Amino acid sequence: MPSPGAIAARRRIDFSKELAAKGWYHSFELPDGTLIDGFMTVQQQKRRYAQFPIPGDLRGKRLLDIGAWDGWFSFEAERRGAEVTALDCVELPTFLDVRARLGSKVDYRIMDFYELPAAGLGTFDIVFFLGVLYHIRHPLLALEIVCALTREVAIVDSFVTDPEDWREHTGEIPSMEFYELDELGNQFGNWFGPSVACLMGMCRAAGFARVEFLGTGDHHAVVACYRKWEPPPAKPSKQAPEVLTVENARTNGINFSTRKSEEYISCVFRADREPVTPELLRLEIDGFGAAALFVTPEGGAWRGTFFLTPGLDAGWHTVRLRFADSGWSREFRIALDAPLSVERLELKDVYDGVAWTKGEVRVGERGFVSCWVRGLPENADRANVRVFLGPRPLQVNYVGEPDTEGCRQVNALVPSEAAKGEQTIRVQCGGTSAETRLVVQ
Amino acid sequence: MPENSTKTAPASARGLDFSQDLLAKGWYHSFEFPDGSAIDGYMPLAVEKERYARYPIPADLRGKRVLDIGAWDGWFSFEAERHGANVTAIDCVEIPTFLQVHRRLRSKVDYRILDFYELPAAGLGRFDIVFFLGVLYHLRHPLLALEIVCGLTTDVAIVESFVIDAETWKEHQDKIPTLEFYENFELGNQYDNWSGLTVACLLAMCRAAGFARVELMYAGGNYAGVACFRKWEAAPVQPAAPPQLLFVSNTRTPGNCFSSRKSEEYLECVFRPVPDREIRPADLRLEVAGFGTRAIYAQRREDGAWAASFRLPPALDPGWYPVRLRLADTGFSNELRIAVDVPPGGPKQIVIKDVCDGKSWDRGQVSHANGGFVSFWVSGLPENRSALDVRATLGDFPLQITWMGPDEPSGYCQINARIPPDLPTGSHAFRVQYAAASSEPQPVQVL
Repeated sequence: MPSPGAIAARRRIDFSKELAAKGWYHSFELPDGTLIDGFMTVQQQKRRYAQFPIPGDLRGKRLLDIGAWDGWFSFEAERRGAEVTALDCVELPTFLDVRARLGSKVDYRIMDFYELPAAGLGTFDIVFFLGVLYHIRHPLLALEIVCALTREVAIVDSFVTDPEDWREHTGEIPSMEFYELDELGNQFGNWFGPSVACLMGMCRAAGFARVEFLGTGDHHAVVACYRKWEPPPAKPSKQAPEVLTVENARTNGINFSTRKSEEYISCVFRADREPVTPELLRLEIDGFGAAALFVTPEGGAWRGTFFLTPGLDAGWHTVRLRFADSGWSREFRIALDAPLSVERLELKDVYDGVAWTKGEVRVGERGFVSCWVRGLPENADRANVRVFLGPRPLQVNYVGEPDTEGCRQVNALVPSEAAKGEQTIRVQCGGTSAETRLVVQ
Repeated sequence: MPENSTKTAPASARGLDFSQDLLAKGWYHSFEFPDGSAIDGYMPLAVEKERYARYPIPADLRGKRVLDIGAWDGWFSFEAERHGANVTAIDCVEIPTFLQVHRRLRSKVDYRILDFYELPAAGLGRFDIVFFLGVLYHLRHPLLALEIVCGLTTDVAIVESFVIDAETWKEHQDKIPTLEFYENFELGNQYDNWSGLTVACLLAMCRAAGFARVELMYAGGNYAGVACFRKWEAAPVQPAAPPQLLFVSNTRTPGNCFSSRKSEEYLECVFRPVPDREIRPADLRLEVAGFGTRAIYAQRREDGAWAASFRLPPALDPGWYPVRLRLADTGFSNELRIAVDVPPGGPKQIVIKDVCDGKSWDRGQVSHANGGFVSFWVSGLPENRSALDVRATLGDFPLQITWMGPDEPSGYCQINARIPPDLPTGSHAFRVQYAAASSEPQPVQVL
């Protein structure tokens, strides 16, 4: 919590007068020898840039600079060979001036930050998100958007409330200040001041696989946010996890929806080691890493739960898991925003799931029914295949892979209070259904 | 809320874990039914009734639409329905206990399963009253959530949330509002809790979300409850003389056009109090589309009039909206109009009447020495006009438009612009373009 003089202290972080006097935020040394003397010195800019864990040679890399201002970081990345897109919410004549003088090809776009996902810019190997986060009303959403645009690493630099002493209170719950008006630096348009721990926690929660602290200085902190795990060890010392299922933690199915703001992947696996901690787990979805939220023992195996990584396109995605010190498991597939298209269903056979008697099910405390269904789509799962006994929906607990004839096994629980006698059993998926008779005993 | 166990979770940093109690009861809400039977949930009936009574909800809700976001077992939904409201209840997963009570009460509550962020596009319309009880701290984007709630509300939203200083908030009102961020299990051992606000932060966020008035109704235990009003309090019965509203513009770019694609749009209003007096932001009651919006700042201009900026109310549909202003003790001013997401019209012809130096008012010229300001009068612009759609050039040099006025009685509007510092002196052709239409060139001397 800030001290009583906190508001006054925050108001003092006001460089608007110096900036107005200089006219420029960034400084430049142009090839013709011209010097532009801005609020930041070229030396400070170079020192900042040198902190970033990005290659010296950026040829072949796409780079996005969000909130480019006068553009020093954009033009520096271009100088090193990157194909740069620079973004700002208003057009700055100073940016255009330098771009013209450098003969730069930087693609300069004016848009609101939240227009980015729909702007069709594609994804970027490297994203600079420097001095923007605290100007944004929805910081975690902003970091999710940045994460979805990044393929390798995003450099996040933000105002923070505790750059000097953050290491002294790492045991506390991370927090941020909220600025309703002009409390920070006498400027409207500053919304949040996170602590260093809060900034890093939000970067992780946004969906980056790894977040590294790079440094602090002058009210700011810089972190590197990686989309990918470090490479697996060349000689793994441990056996890879044996993954049994990969499923949506909400539905237990294999379908995921980008319309849901929080989708979690659950992964059940066997491990020949103990303990298994979240820090050991490296889940990968189409090459992007997802960190484990938690892991719990489950019937001799383990269940790890992970935040579905943002920025995936609609369609099928490959999921695999390793430990920090192992190679990869086998691959599983999940479907994202996949339509459920079913032409025709055929309910071939129904069995008691325990006794395997055909056309009947014995219900004691409860019963199990196994249906053999042809025509289910590839993305049929426990959540979108429904089984009804008469009018009553049953709990579906298994949808198998297709056999050689294209039939899939669908298992459901029959509760003890189910009416006895001959009834209709109906399997439904994607608006189509098939039914047959079943004797309940 | 996936219901996985949390055995490896760290010790809860904030106690609030009622999951065991809830599991034992099976119900969160308690109910009493018309036949005298009752359901004993985690929250006693008396507490539910006390919570409901705490808020400014009319006893007779006939004709009112109520939205209950995160209804859980549904006590608040069914209570509002019992008072006559047409109720929509939302949850992120279907709760069988809600459906059970719904059947027993033969309720007509419209129960929808939606992710919170799907609400704006769900086509549910707007609601007189919105219940947003115990949901905020479960959401990853709290201010966005409050904006969405504000956009769905026409009268009042009741926002109740976990807060971190319900018992002590009065002791640190001089401090900057804060919120805690829960990356994992820090709050109540549940991983779907994201933020814990201070009371001051909750109030400030409700205001920043766009509500006109925000009143703290309760703070205690771990919770605070807030009534968030979309409208200003009624004007005084015997109002003082209203201010004169001179002009409304978008602060981002001169003109009366606003875009819902921008996350932050602000109106600048120029007005004169009658008689003249000093103005504080808290005195101002701006109304846009019938909704109140708060002043962010107010300052006196060089010409003696006042300028104040206000946030555009959220979630306005495309169209024209009236804007009017009153002070706390006055009635409303004259009305002006703004356009939200109205496509720019295509003028047939643009005519320039006058061009002059913005400082000296000398016609046909503009002087670098005077600061490079130019004022000109044009006719033919559509009523919704934005500087982004106007292109004024001297030779090949585009000018930066700093102000666009309304049409004057003459049919012309004044536009002020600044010339670039590197514009060469001498005679240049001055042109104004809007969409496909262009004025005839006029010679202007740059000095």
